Amino acid sequence: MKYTVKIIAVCISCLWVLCACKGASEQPVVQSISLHTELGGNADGFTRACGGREFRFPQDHGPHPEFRNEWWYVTGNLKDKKSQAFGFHATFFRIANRPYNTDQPNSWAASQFYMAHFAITRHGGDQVRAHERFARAAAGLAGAQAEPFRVWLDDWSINATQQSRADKPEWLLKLGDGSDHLELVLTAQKPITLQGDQGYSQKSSDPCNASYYYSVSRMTASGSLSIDGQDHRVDGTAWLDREWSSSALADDQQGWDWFALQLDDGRDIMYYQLRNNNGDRDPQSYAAEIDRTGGRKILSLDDIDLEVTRWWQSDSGSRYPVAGQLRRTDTGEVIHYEPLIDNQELPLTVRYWEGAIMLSNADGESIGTGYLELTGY
Amino acid sequence: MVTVPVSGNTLMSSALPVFVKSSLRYWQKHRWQVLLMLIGMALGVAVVFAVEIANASAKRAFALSLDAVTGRTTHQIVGGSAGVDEQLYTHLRTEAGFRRSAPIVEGEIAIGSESFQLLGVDLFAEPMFRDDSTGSNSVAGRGRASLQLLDSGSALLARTTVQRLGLKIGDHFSVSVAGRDATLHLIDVIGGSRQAAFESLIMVDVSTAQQLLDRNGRLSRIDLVIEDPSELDSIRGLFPSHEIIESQTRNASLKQMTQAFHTNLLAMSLLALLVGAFLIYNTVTLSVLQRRQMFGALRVAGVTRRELFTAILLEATVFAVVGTLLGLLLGLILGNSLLVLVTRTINDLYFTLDVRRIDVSLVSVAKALALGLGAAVIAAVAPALEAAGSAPATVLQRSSIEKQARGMVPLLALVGTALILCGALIVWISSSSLWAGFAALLFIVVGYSLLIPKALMFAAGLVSGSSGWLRRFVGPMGHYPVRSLTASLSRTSVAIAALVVAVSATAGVGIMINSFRYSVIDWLGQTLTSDIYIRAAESQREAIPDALKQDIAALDGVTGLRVARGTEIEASGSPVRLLALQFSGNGNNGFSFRKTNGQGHWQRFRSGDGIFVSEPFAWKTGLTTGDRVRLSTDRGIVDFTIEGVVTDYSAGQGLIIINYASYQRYWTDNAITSIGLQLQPDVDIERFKPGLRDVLARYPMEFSLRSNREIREVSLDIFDRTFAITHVLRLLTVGVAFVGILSALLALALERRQEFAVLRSIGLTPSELRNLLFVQSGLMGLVAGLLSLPLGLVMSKLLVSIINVRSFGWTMDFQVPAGVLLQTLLLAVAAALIAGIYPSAMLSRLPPAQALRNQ
Repeated sequence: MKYTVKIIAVCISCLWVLCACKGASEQPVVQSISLHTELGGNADGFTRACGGREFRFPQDHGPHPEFRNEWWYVTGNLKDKKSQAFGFHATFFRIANRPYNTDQPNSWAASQFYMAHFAITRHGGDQVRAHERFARAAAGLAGAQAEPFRVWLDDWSINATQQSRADKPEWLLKLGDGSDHLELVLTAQKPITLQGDQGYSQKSSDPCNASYYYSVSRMTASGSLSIDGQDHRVDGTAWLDREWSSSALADDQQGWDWFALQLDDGRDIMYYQLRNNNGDRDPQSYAAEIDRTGGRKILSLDDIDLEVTRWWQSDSGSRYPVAGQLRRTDTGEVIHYEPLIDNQELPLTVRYWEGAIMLSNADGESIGTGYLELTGY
Repeated sequence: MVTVPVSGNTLMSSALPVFVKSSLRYWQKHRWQVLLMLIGMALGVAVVFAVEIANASAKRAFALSLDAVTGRTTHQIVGGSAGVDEQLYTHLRTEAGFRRSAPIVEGEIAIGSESFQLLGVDLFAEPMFRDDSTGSNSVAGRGRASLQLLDSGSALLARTTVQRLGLKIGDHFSVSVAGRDATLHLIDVIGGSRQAAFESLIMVDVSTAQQLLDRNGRLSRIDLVIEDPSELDSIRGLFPSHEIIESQTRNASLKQMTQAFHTNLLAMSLLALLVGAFLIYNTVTLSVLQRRQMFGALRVAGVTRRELFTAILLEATVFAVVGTLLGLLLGLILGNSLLVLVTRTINDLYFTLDVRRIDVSLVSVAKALALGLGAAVIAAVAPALEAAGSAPATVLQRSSIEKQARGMVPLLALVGTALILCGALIVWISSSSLWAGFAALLFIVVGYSLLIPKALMFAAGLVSGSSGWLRRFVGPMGHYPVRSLTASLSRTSVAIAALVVAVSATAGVGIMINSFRYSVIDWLGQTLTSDIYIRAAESQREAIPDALKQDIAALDGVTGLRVARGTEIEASGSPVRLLALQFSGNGNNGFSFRKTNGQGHWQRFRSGDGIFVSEPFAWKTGLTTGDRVRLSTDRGIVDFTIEGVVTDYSAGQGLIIINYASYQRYWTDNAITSIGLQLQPDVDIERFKPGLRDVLARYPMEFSLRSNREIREVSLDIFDRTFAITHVLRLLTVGVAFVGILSALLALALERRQEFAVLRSIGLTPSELRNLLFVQSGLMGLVAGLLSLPLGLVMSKLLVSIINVRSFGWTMDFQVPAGVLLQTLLLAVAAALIAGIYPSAMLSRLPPAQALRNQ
């Protein structure tokens, strides 16, 4: 999944600032930067994910600064009292600029920085409302800690509540920018799911091109949301992804489509397909089903068939497959998906489509909600 | 005489070609005259233009770097001398969620001998501040490499700076901060259109800046972009003990700091132009006189007065255009040299400023053009009127013109007197306007020069009445030089007036500088009460340990110690020097008070919240003894009472003196920047120093040692450097006057060729004739020199008591050294004599027969 993120993180470290000072430098330093030099090589000095490890909570909710990239990734679907539907996306990325060093000359010295994205979508709205922030992991401006759990960037934060338990986190999410605000209590409804092989998620043939990856695939979300200055009391479900790594991408990967589906019958399905340059699905793609009690079953890629039914073109020119159907050949189950609204392309430092989707069965009946991430388009 | 009733236009059209033709022929015959006029005019304009562009460049460079540093900042949170605790910034962004804020750590840094401003920024907070080409969604910086800025020691420089210093990206270079050396790593350059703004900056990360400046934990200030007044209120609520200032106000007052200095330079340059205008007046007048026959003929042909007037004015305008353009070119070259001097003075007096490139704006060119053309045309109005007054066909005799000119003398004297009175009135009425001061100066100078013909006639009367000594010196023709001077009063008086203005300006400025220097020496003597001063770097925060003080006190010969802490703070939105002094209690405390707040001012200064302020501070803020000054201290905003206004020439931006104990109480700062040592009178300072150095070497800090004498010398060096530009302007003004005298002498000489031929033919040898002319030149110089003295004195008095006070707030004792007066006389005589060399030599060589034949 959240390769996206990875890429984003990477891209950020690449593209980053560029646009900022156009007059500043005639030769953009970007020229030589590629995803692969960022994600593939140059992991010197960082710890790499080369095999299984033992996950421990609450420690692993906190940061792993010896790895290059890490994120706390929450998406979800909400409804207010009048059944107005909303989607939200809140992510904190930790990105290392240099290998971690605890011996710093002063409190501002930083070898890492944080980027955070906050986006909300209203059903019927024109477009997603997205916000982005950066801050160094120093001087108390941004950071993360395991106990009590906290990740923050400026006044955007996720904090553990008093009721939070290591294996059943309850977190308070607080984000806001301008006339958009979101304050939610997220309570885990299922235990922590270790993705891949006991949390070790290999991304290419090199066993060290991998990440550590766990999810809480269903959390209740309850709180308040302000969108464009309008306040709503909201309830719904959220999905938490946690991943950290130092290098993961293969040379021939172009992008991916990631699905986080929460079905009304209590099952959650995660599916990501990595797309190679020739448009094929990469064998390192992944699908899993989590039952109502949290039991995980890895699905065979051969049993998943994705068919796009509608493309949407953004003003920036990218075309995204925003609607389609997932067919499971093993059970015959068909899940149709449609975006909450089409324009959920995030116009941030790195553009990608990350949006709430509505799920329905072959008869057109609503069967759940989810989040879809589309990159490399 | 026939009058033909034809419309003026047709006549003009037929008369104009005639005028142009004859005019061309005339000027061709008098090339030297044209040349000198153009040179004089060009010099005058050049000085004005050079000063203008040097001023404008310095101001623009400062504004640019100020704007680069300020960016979109609307407000700034500033602390006491120690700046702002960095945790307040964290609080502002995380707890309070105020995101339009950026941390700044700044200070002075040097690469080699060149000063730069170190600007420590957080590149993540930058985009909404100092970057105008991006929205708030991306981060400021320069590509992937900008992240390198986070690495300790990474730095960015302007591309031009990098080229000048011969650096390239990736290089490591040495810097020094407050005496400590460090190495920085150049990771990229700032290029493009905005680089000029960064030429005097070294941009680094906040962390690097804190390390370099030894200010871990502190920020210099927090920049804010506040759009809504209610936000300001809530931030004020968060920072009750900090001052939040509006950046525009602060920038304006920073820019204002040097304004008086620039105004002074501009005024001085205008004097050069005034002298140039005299020269134009003289040349045009001469040309009109010489062409009087032609004008008479033109009038007969039916050319009206108005047409003649317009034609001569047009002619003068053509010269003015050429002269002004030449002046612009010359000024461009001169401006580069002046810029160095201007920048140096600003650095000495105000703040670090590095200006490398002269910056010529259209506005500057337009100003110089307008001034040059305006001065030339105004100077040509009188002669043009005179020409227009020619009666048709009447060949005006030279003598009748002189008679006319002489008839004007009483009127001129009257107008002159009126102008001088007017000037005096302006001084009396205006209380603080610098421009009023200069206006008064101008009125007095112009008025005085109108009195010169009268004075000249008076002097001539005196001399010719007792010209026995002249006859003895020059021979039988003794009174010839004097008589012929007054005989051609219409021109000699203008030439002399030009010289008088130039030379008296030299005298006036000379006396002013002398008074200033004397006052500074006096003040240094009073202020430097210790024999040796130990200085520590100002940015050093750790206190000089008590043990060191004890060690020093224990040295042989030490009778007293006086510690001081100097730092820079903000008061009423502009930077001010704060000096915290410890008093050992004995009599001489080193202050010379201009004003005190009644009895007990010392008591209140020592025990209470009393402070002393310097004259410039009092002048700038309009505050005086008994008033309160609001300062932002580490313990919040505190009102201090001014207990005394003291003389101080050290801080152009203003100085506040506080008792060290009070300083420690309000600013939680134990640091010391200097210790003054009082020694027994018989101690040899040079022998004492090694022992002192041994003691200092035991401590890990950087110190510098300066004896009382060394400080005096350095201070006076700086003083002299500050006035270097003034000296240059004086000389340039005299240069213009010199051209004027030369031109006038040449004109006189040529005009009287026949006269001299007659003298030759009645038996005067060439060398006798030469002496005659030479003496005449010298006489003109002497008269000009003598006439310069009163004007010089008045000017200097105005400069010292009005202009200087209104510009800088400095008062000083008025000192008139005989040397300066003598110099003035010598300068005038020498200028006139040198100017007389060529005309007299030329004339004496002229064969009399040829000159007579021309008649």
